[in-house]
Amino acid sequence: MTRLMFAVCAAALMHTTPAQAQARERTVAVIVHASNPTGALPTDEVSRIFLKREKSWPSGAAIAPVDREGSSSIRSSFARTFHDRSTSALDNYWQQQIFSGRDAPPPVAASDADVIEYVARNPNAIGYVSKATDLPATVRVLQVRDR
Amino acid sequence: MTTMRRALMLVMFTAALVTPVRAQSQYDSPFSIYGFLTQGFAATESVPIMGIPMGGTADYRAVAVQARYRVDAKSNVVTQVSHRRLGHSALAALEPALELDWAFYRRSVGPVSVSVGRVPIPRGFYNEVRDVGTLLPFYRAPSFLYADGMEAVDGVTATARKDLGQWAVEANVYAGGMEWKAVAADSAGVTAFVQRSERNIGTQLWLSTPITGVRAGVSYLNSEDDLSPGGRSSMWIASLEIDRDRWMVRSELADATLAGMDIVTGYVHGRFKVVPTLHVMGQYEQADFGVIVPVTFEWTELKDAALGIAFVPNSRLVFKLEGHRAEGYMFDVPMNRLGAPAQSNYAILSMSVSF
Repeated sequence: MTRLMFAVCAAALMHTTPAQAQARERTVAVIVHASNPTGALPTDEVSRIFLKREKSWPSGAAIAPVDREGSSSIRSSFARTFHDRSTSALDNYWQQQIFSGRDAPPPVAASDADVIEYVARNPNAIGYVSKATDLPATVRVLQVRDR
Repeated sequence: MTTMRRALMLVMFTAALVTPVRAQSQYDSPFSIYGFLTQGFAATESVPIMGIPMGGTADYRAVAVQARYRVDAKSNVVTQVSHRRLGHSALAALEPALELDWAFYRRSVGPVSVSVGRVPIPRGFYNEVRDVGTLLPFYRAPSFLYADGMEAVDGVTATARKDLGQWAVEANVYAGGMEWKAVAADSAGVTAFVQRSERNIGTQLWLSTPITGVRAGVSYLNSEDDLSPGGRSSMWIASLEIDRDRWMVRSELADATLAGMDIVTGYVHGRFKVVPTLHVMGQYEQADFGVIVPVTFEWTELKDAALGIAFVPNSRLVFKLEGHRAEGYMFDVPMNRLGAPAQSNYAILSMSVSF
């Protein structure tokens, strides 16, 4: 009985439904400044950057992430794909960081155009836009590989 | 100089650090303001507890405003002031109208962040956020483990985090002076007191596992304590969390030795999202005391079982209704530990918002 209960709990913790797997198909593109030399990053590294757990590029320069508004569908998609969490869980994470005095969330952009403008004028910036958005030559898509 | 003047001067000093060299876009502002508010109405059916009288009280509130200034990419200055009301609790007399929670400078040096000043103490799940209603399953954090005081250290903290593949380790250490507050209810009456000690040292370790939402931790605090044999007291806390977004369970167990007593306290609580905007919560908390000298004597200071329901329109606004059944000696009336424990049911209706 104990082994059965353990097995059920482990399965509940680790189970991924087909719907969840489909949701991780990327609908967002991570973008950086055109001069950023970083070629590709794993998914979990991108997650750490936007959670501000990774704060420096390999060059030593401070990473400047820009996030999206809390209620936007693109933020929800990004949170599921890269953080494997819902936006409410992400909001709770930032509240925990703020009210424990540890850190503050990245600035927030309202649209793909605002993200592109932010990244284009900051060589150390990183943001995310809809995959279908046309990008100017001042920014480029960062290749993201699975964990 | 009063505490309120000190707090206001610190906030003004922080604001004065913002020197506009050039026009700044919305993304470039180094200055940010955050805060939270929880307002409650609480009533007990019989014995007063934690400031809650039989007739009920709306003087149950926690408000804080935090000002943060980004000095550069690696350092910040953070100040937080708060206002808290505890109903009819004897502690209310010790609570100033406005209190300086924190005032510290934080700098990242490689993977380590060091904070100096009056700094929140990293201890367990809730020590740093014990009044933030949008983060708590119930109105307050488990009341005995997170008793009043020991919220901030006047000294230094250091934090380091290391990702090890799909695992992650976070280590915190802190040292300095701190205060703790308590209400003592014995046969002679109900007394609130504040005790301050200067030579304290502690640590908090967290281990995040590859399983999303599963985290374990251990904390240790060694304090200067004039009431304890040898002049020192200590507390261990073991913590476990499973947070799967739709449901969450947290449990902590603490063992403290202080003032000649051995105290074991713990809780388990959980939250389930029926739908994203409707949550149900449950909690059980217990604190057992033991005295060895002059005679061996053990008693259960507190048992508290609670159920609650929350309406959560979004992550920054929460309405909660909770009912508790408490038994023991931790009431706001004179209590004789040699006599029978008291019992009471109490309820709290609250609204919490963060910004």
